[in-house]
Order: sequence, then C-alpha cells, then structure tokens
Amino acid sequence: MLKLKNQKQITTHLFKQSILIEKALIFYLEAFVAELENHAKESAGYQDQTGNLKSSIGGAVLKDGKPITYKGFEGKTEGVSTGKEFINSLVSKYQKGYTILLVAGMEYASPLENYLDFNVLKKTELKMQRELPEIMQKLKKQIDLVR
Amino acid sequence: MKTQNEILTDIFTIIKNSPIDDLNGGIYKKTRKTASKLEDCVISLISGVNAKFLQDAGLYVKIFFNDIESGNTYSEDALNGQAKEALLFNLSETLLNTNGYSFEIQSRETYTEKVLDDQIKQHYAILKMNFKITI
Repeated sequence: MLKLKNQKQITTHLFKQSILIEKALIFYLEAFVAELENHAKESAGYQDQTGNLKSSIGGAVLKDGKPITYKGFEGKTEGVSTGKEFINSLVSKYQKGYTILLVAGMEYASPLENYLDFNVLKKTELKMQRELPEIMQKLKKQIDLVR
Repeated sequence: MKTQNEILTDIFTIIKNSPIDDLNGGIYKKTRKTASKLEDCVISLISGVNAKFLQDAGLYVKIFFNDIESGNTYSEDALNGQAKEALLFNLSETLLNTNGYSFEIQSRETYTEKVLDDQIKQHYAILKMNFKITI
C-alpha cells in the first residue's frame, strides 16, 4: 500500500507514473511498427525486381509531430532514401498525441496495388486495424495492475 | 462470412443498379478486357487474411477514362476524372448503408491515377474503402 503524505509527494508519484506509462506506450508502439513493417515485406504480392520497393517500406512512431523512432528502410539506397523522404513529408500532418506511420515510398507502390491488385500495404493496414485496439487493451491492463 | 467471389458479386450487383452502369464500358470483377479504351468499371479486393471466408478486406472500385490528346501528348482529362470521382463517392454512400457489410467511412479514399501501362492512354478514378463482414 502506497502512502502519500502531502501534495508534493502526490505530484511526484503521478509524474513518475506518467513517465512509466509513456515508456510502456512507446515500447508497445515501436514493437508494433516493427511487426507491421515485417508483415508488409512478408505479405508482398509482387516480385521486387530492383529491391527498391521493399527497401522503401518503413515506419515511424511520432509524438506531437516529432519522430521518436524509425523502423525499416533497409537495403537498396534509392528505396531507403525515397522511403525516408516520403515518411518525413507526412510527419507535419500529425501534430498532436502519438501517431504510427507506415509507408512504401516508391512512386509505383500505389499503382502497383491499385491497378495491378498486388498487395503492397493493404493487408498490413487491415492487420493494424484489427490488432491496434487489442494492443491498447493489453497496455491498459498493465497500467491498471501497476496502479 | 463470405467468399471473395460472393463479395465481388454483391458489389457487382450494387454497381449494376447505379449510374455507373450507364457508362460506355463494362463492369468487371478483377480484370477487364485487354487494351480496352472504354470507360470500364473494375471491382477488386485485397483480403486481410488469406482464407476461404473473409472477415475483412479492402475494396477497390476503378473507373477508367480516356486521356486528352494534344500534339501527340496525352494528359489526364481532369473534368472527366472529377465526374468519375463523384460517381464513386455516390457509390460509397450506398455501400455505407449496405446490409451485411460494415464499410469504414474513415478509410474512404477517392482519387485519380495514371494507368501503369504506357500503351493505354487512360487514367482511372479509384474508390478505396475497407470493410468487415457482419453476417
């Protein structure tokens, strides 16, 4: 049983708690972005002839419009730089709270999926929609245990 | 739970009863006729999980339209593209109220894009929307 004697102790305790919760949230989001990035590469419906498309796949966790972590963007130089450039061009749109982004940066990624029906990111987007609420629920349970 | 073909048939029927059917092309599931120059409508899906019966998927409805030629240079007919986008937006409103499906309004996107084949002088307007099967 935690006993807090005065206002200062309460404030300090709450501050420490909020840091712990934030660390846990970031940990979960970073792990999830890494999982999504792997999923996107593994469920690719196309033959990546140059390696650029898969190299341009990556994600980021943002806090209040600032990137905390990048995942992916590995391999062919052109893909890596195009992917990073693309994700950075999106960052300014998400100024509040936590955001996770996942992109395939090559210009042909969109017509490949839309015109030729080859999966690029759609299956991963659907996975994200299914699993993110479960992850948040899991985090909430852990927070409740700590309280 | 429905199979991919059952879902495509449901969407096909909805489009067949919409103003999209009045365009000069056909309505197709997955692929249209090779080298078509018509205003075809093509319906396709990408499912969330590879399984016989689908729970969730992304729907893609494309309407093709011809480019404008000027001095052997082809460019998008923006006005026509806008009209096709409006048709697709109206279709999405119908889909949002379709029994057995839960279409997600926040995933709705419509825009135009160039056909990824230089031999075909067309663009397409696309409607993308995710959904879950509710029956």
